[in-house]
Amino acid sequence: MRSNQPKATENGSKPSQYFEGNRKGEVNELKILVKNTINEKDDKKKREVVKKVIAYMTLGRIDVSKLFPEMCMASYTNDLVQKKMIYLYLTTYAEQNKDMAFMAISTFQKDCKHNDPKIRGFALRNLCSLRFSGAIEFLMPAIKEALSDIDAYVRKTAIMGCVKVFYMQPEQLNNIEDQLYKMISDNDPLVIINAIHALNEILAQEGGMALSKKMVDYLLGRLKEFNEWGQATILDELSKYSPKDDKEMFNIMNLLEERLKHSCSAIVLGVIKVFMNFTKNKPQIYEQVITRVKLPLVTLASISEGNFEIMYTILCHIKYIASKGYNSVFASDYKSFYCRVDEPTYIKLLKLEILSQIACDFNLGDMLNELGEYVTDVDQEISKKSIQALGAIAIRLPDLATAIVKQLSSFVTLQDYITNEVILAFKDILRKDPKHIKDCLEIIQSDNITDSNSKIALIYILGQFGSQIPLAPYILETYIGAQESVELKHTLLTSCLKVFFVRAPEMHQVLGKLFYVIINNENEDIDLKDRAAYYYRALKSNANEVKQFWQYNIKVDKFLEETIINKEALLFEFNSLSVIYEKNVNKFIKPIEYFNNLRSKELQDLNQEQSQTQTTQEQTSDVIENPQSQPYGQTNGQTNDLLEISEQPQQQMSLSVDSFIVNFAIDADHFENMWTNLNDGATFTRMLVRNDIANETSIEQLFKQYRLYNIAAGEEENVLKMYFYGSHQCQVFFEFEINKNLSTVILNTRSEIEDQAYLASKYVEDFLRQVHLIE
Amino acid sequence: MFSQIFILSPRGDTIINRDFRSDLPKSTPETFFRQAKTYSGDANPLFTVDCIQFVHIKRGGLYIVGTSRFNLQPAMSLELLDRLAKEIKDFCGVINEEVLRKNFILIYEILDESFDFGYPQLMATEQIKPLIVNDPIQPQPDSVMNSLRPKIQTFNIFVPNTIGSQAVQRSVLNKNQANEIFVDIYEKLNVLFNSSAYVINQSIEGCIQMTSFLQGNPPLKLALNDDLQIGRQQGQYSAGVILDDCNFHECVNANELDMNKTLRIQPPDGQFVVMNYRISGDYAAPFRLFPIIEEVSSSKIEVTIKLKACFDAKIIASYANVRIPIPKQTANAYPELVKNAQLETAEYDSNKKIVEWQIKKLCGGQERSLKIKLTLQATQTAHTARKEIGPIAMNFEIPMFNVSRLQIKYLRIEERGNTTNPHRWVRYITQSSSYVCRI
Repeated sequence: MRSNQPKATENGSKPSQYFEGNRKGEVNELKILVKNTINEKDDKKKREVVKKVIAYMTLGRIDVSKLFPEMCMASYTNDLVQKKMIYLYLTTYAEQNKDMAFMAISTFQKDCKHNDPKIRGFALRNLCSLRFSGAIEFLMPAIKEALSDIDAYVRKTAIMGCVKVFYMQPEQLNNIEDQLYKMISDNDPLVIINAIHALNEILAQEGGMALSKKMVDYLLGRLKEFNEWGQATILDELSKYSPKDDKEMFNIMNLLEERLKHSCSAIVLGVIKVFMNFTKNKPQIYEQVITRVKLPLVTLASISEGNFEIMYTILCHIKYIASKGYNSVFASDYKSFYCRVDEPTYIKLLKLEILSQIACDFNLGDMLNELGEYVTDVDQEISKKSIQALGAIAIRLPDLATAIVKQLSSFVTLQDYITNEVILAFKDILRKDPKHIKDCLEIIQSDNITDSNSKIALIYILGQFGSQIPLAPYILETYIGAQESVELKHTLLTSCLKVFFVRAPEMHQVLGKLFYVIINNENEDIDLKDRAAYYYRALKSNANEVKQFWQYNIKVDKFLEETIINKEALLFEFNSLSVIYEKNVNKFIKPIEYFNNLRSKELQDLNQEQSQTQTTQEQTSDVIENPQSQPYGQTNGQTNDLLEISEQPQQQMSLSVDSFIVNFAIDADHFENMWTNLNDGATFTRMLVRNDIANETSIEQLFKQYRLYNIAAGEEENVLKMYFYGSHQCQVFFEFEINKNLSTVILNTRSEIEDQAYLASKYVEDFLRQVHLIE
Repeated sequence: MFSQIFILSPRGDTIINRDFRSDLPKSTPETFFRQAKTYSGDANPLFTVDCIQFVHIKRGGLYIVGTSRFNLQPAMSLELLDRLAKEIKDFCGVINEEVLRKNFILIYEILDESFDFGYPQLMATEQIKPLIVNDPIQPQPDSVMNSLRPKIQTFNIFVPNTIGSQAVQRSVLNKNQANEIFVDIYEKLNVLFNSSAYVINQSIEGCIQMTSFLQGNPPLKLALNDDLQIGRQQGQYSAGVILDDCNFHECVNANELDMNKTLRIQPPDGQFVVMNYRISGDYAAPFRLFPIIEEVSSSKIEVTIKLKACFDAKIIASYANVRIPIPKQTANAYPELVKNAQLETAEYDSNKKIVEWQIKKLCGGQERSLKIKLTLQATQTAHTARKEIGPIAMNFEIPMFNVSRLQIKYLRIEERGNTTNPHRWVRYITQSSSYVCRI
């Protein structure tokens, strides 16, 4: 057992170097190695070889799928260690090796009838995972038999087999549902759970498994026989059930209540979901439910034993419940949501959001101190978020906003990024309640605002409250003519105008300067210019009337964002990813067809990539070909024969003179434009063998015969450079160079479609060869 | 359910890659790693890219990732990955990159028994054990690789390096192992002091964790303090141990807990947490910190920190580390230990602007102190810079000590059968979770 893994995994830091350039050789070597060891007697040696293959499979850097026939051969072994590894290999690559997968089937079949139920189950599981339609005729009989096997391990495997078949050839299943429903009364809990999963997938169209009262009673009666995941599955089923009456509802809820003491978060959330769904139309009981589930939730959210991931999920659900209007339920537990030094950023950010939601009159004092501490946190993200949290509280609790505004103002002497964030918070607070402006004055007039969005917020505030900010005109003036975004300039224009109406004497000159700078700037945004010009003329004709239009007050009661989010949130399904992402389910779940597309696209790309590396490798000795050449008509993995295949279609598809448009014309600008914007398409370099026609006129004539037209040419120190263009399916552009010193001919071809550049390059090469200009 | 499960190294190399359903692209490991790297800290445990759901946990620096095209139950999928990590730990002894690379075939076996078509199957260590054919390969303890690897950062998160923990870092597959069970009572303390050393917030998160190598999984009976009480009423004071709330593992029957303070346990193999508990009440903090900040001149600050161990002199903390963030505008900082200080170091990290004070051993009742002399850059004055000092965070471990006074009175094996009386090891460990002093 000297080396248990291939070198590649050991020097993991630089494995690519190990593989680069010699991929093909590596695979062949491995192939021979496997072939040679098939007849090896020593199982230990054989194991090592198979293990090596699996290691490469895991790394995925070289494609070991070509070893499929050898691995099929190797599967005829009695050594279970090898067999397990080989089956893992076969199930991984059967999809790509459909034709050869047959070879393996007989050993699977044999094992499906083995005396040992462990092997029966194991063989069946892998047979069902082969994923190629040819296996079906062997598969269904094996599954049918296994469904009534004496051993539960085989039965539960057979049920999963049904789901696998369902995704290959659903019609083969042939009303298997009845049998699956029957298996819910099996003795073995795992068989039952698998039957539920299977029914839910097979009957997904009809909304999953049908749940009768009888079945609910039965499953609840046996609930404790199931492991954690089984219980979570049953609870999820139960959440779809509607009890016939209150009595039944309370019975079920009483039965489940003690499960809230479980340490497994999946079960606790599962129970809560049942409770919430059962009582959603009974607001009073619903509220009692929320109060009841608070304690276990807070406990799960604080006890992490290093498991921050679970903690995150629980916190997301707490935040969700709080956002549904039950924030007061968690208000007394506010200290549980304080950030701790050992927590990752994602937990801290979430806790800050929860704190801002559950703040209320009796906890705000403590909480302000705590949030204030976070503002100086070394992590800027935490710092910014805590300022946002304070801002959000001020907006939600207008009666307590004054204290918060005062606290925010006290951060003004700290770092720039803090001041920037505070200004943003102030903007929203002031929009909601303008009276706080008197407490914001200091920060507004401080000069360490650096972020663009914060500047915009500041300019907005200056405009809106110009009459109360002594320095407003002078701060505004500093922004005139500065290199800033158009958005900022728009806000600046509006704000200057607003301040002008209240402080005309001070603003008169500033506004004039602003108009001047905008209108006389040639490169200015045209819309901004129009606005400035319009205001200018309007003010000139009747300033007082304009002033009247501007004097109105917008008071914000509720921000639009708040209401939209709340409405959407009502539709989120509890204990689902919607709660985590805060997105509606249709925003992140797509039907299987979408993924099938992704996969087939990926497979195509993979094949192309493989064939490209092959062609370049094979052809380097021959000619320098376009490295991006694509194998036409080539779609799936017969990469072994690729060279022949890729040669043939190229000849078939080669261009002829007829493909090009006669006397096609473009202007020089267009050419230059296209040439500079296109990527390198195809390039070749050849030896020049005939000097007599290597001059501008002859070459131009020659290309013209082939309907390619010259647009520019020049000769310098025995190097002739000419540019040509032509058009067939698309436009193609050439840079043609004859270097008489070196006796070389170089052609660069570019086109919007890379294939076409390649074909055109071939086309030119052919006719150059015909006139013996090149070899 | 899960479409694929893969395990990536901290650098993003694939160590394990299992595709159960073949319904998602094969490039998901790259997609995952790219997305995870976009977060400034650790990535969110759950996120979606191109409508593919990624669920992951981080253990031993490794990413254990599940993918799906369904709207998963988030808690269940995370618990499953956590369970998988525990299984790997049970079979391999520890979980880290080297061990996983050595045992990848064994891990594929575990994966295939634990999941079929992405659905959880046999997930208990003792259920899988008979189905596993590969033996675990232990990493060579003194290999060059190990000694070269940088020591695990002792700050942050859970430190697995507690006394005697080597004993539990072994595989359940080990055939000649002793018939024994380890019981740990872990308590993690969360204390927040304000600048005048007054406790603003404190709580304990504790658990009773078992690692069982018992043959035949015999039922156990665990008795706790007689004065144990669960659930705290508002304004209630009691001399007993009051837990605010607790929860239990699937294998625990807690019906008799209220009556006679005992738990009945049907122990699985390997590691599991019998019970988690949470205490929010007041308790005597084991360490007290007294920071004093002096502005010596407009560009010089002196920080003196006194640390007092307020527990019994017989108890010894195995380490106590103190981390002091100092102003960003610091030009230089000189931490000075008292003369003849033993088993103590203090270092200034000029990149992070942090002074780390490490104390190797600290007996109860002892006091230590550290003085840091700071010189500021010309751009900032001592008066504004002092605001940036702190908060001071402590990290420690105290074996054979617990603040809650929760105790195991006895652990009985109910049906002993023919085997000899198994060894039962009980440990108490107190660690810091978040032990912070603000200035």
